[in-house]
Amino acid sequence: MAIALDRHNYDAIARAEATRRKGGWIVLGVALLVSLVWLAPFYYLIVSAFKSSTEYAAGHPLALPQGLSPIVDNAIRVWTDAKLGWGLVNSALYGLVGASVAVFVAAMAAFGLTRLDFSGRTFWFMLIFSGTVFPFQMYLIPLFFTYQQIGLLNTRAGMILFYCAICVPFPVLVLRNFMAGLNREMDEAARMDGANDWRVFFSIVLPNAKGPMLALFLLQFTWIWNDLLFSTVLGNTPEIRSVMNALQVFQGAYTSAGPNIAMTGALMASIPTVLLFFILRRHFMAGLSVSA
Amino acid sequence: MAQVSLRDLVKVYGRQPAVRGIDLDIQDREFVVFVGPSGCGKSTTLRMIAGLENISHGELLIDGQMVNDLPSRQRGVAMVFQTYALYPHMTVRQNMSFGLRLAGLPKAEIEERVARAVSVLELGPYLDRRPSQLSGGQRQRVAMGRAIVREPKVFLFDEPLSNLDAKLRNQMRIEIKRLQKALNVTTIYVTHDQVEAMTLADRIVVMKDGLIAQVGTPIELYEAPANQFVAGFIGAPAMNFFAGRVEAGEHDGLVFRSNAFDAVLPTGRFARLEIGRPVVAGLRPDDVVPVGHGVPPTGGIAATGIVILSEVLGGESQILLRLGEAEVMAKMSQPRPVESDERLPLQLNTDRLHLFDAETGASLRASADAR
Repeated sequence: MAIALDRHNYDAIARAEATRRKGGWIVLGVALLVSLVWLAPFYYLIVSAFKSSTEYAAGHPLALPQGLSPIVDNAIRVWTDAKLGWGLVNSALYGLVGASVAVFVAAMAAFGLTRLDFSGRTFWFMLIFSGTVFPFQMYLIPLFFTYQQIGLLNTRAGMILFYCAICVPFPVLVLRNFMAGLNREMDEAARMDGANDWRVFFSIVLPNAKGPMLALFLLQFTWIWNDLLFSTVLGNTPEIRSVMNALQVFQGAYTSAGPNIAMTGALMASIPTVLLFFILRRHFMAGLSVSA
Repeated sequence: MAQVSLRDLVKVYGRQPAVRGIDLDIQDREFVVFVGPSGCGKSTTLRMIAGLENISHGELLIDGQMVNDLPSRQRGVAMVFQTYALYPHMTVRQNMSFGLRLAGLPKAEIEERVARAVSVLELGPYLDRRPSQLSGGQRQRVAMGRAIVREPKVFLFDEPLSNLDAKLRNQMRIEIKRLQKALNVTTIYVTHDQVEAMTLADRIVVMKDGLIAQVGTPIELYEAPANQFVAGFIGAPAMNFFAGRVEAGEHDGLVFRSNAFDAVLPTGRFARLEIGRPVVAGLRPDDVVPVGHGVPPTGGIAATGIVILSEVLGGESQILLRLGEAEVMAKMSQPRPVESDERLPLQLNTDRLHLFDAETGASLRASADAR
């Protein structure tokens, strides 16, 4: 006897179920309001970037621009005044090297903390973990004097070294938890297949930690890219400074540039991180769901 | 092809002993199953043989060579894990060839070995799939394939079927048995499931509290358990136990008396019996036969049980009865429906009675003495 699969109209039941679950207009209204508040600064940034200095001074700051062409002049002004080319190159260097090295080192540490048997494992973990507990600003003054003494102040090597180190603890925390959840029998199988610790790390654990590692890379890259405090204090010559530091020429009492130039600079400086996010977003989302 | 010898093998974690000294000789091509309740040390023993745990004390010999300090890859052992432990980021082909690639085997040989394993395990259509795209049974077969391609001297299985559903488990059990027969490799298999142990093993090693409780063929363990623990562990449903004592009977014979039943003890079956000795008698559910169901025992005694409840399995029913002041499980073949509180006439096959020392649990069987 055949089994009847269509005893009910299941599409209609599904539609009714969906309607019952839908939130009311109030939820939608609140959501719209919150989005509006959140989007307002972006609106200001975009419209300002398309205004010339005179246009900006003449009209209301939130008024729509009269044309699109002023952004070209603004961009050229930003590029030359702030030496933005150097800034972008430096920030890219600090971000790529700093975040990659930090996440890789963190992955090795997490592997050691979860897979290798050595005494004081908990102590070492707590020591690294303490790096995420204290506010970063605490390191600023000692770092400045140390860097000054050993000649690392205002050097690319010094900047990279700092970013590599500061970005290690948080990824260790996340990757340790992730790796602790990876099937231990998988590495035992690899060991029986003849793999040593390094081989287990590179061929078995690392490929399976790709998602969270990419997400962490992106987070740390963005942090380094956006860092203003440390890059101002530790690397402040035009050839060394980061892009965020470079934008500071448009701030303060003695600057001749208007907010439209500053906003164009901000827009230009944020394009690379946004691009990177779009390129890696699939991994980022997957990694987030793991690290959450 | 290898013999495996365990000499006084001990494993301690901190100060906690997990394996307390095991002696065992496993013959070439033998299929040995370690079975026991959780925490009995069976997996730890297997992991010591695999080289995944250090050996705290004792010697492990494979083919006469001491391998205590050899890493697993040099011991010639391969293992199938409970969770299959496949590498999720590799295809079936890469999973199976990983160890061979590490060993630096020539490409042609790797391909040939993988092809051979694939044809034995019928994995052909899945070679380029990832483990996540396979069903549980297929993953299990890939895990076995990964072990086969290494052409090990000894196969190790650590509860390989416990993650499968019941139907697949039966199917894979037969496949493992067939595979072992075909490859003819010494195999050590760990399980907590006594049905797996009985059906797969040439010899079963029953473990308890880090020690071997008994070693023997499945039939030996079933028919002549060396102690009360093995008697209760092997066989499903479990053996019925009755506390009682040995007393003098007619014609110089001996009688077992308990609050469930009294039975004349067959002469010659037991040794070391003395009058007044407190003992525990064991009777398998197969030997508690409801009258009119199944083959009536030739000897034995008649009794009447009161039904407490019955579990219907279709081909047979397992009936929990009150017998005297004790509870007893009976097997009813060609079952009929029974009601609770129904009075059920029984035939107890006391010719197949087991007796154990009430204190030590050791079997009082005459044949068990030699062991």
